[in-house]
Amino acid sequence: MADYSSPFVAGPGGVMTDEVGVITGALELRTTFANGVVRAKVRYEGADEWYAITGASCRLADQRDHAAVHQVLLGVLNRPLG
Amino acid sequence: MSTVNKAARFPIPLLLAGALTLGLTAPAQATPPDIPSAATANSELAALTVASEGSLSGYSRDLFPHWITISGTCITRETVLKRDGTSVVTDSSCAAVSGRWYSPYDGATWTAASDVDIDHIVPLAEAWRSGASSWSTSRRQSFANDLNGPQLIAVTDNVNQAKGDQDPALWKPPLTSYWCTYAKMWVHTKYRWSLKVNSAEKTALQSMLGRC
Repeated sequence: MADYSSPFVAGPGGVMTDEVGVITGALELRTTFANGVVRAKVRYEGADEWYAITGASCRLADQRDHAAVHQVLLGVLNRPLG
Repeated sequence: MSTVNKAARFPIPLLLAGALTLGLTAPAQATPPDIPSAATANSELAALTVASEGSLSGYSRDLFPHWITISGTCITRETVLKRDGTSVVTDSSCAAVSGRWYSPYDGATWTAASDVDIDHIVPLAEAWRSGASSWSTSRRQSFANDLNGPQLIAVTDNVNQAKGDQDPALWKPPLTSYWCTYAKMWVHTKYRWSLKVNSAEKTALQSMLGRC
């Protein structure tokens, strides 16, 4: 699988993105795997544009690690109670 | 924070021409138009509808066409760079090739336009969730390029990035000395465009106006 997507709620201070700076509120995390590299993007839940999380890409030695990377990112980003 | 002297890379005659035309001694101060008095801002804030924020479902920056042509070859960004900077020299395509920009959010001064962002005082996403989702695209375009009110300002790019989509309950300029002016600009923009405020945002604005 090349894509994982999960809803989450950003904590105080939001998430820094390359395109629009900090975004806050109910968001979605999407990680994509292509050419050995995982990239993490976010968008406002239900919105039309994805933004790259600043600094959030890395090369994987094994594609099977993609799911674990996605899960770790989600665990860090999701702060529904602030 | 360092400054980059991009101007040094350009030919001397161009610099002199700019210096003679615009002067090098004017105070470096961003000045968006139509900033109200504190009393006016307080009564405008009291008149705003208080409501919880709407969803960003369907949102896209493309629905707020921004940086349109304002005059000649100059787009909105370049127009604000000229307005808010001092000794700004532009080329034939209206790009700022030299000048000085003071960012009132953090007190930094820059000499390369690439270090300066044009901030929407009320961010586009924040406008969407406080009423602009129901506007026509043409009204959103007018909002995103509003040079008639205090909605656009040249500031340090990193500070603009850190602000992002946040309202004053979540983000305020680093310089507390600017909070009064910032709150007056924020309130007046919401008032002019009939946008709502949420209760935490209103409380933050009242507190900031209390510093005026």
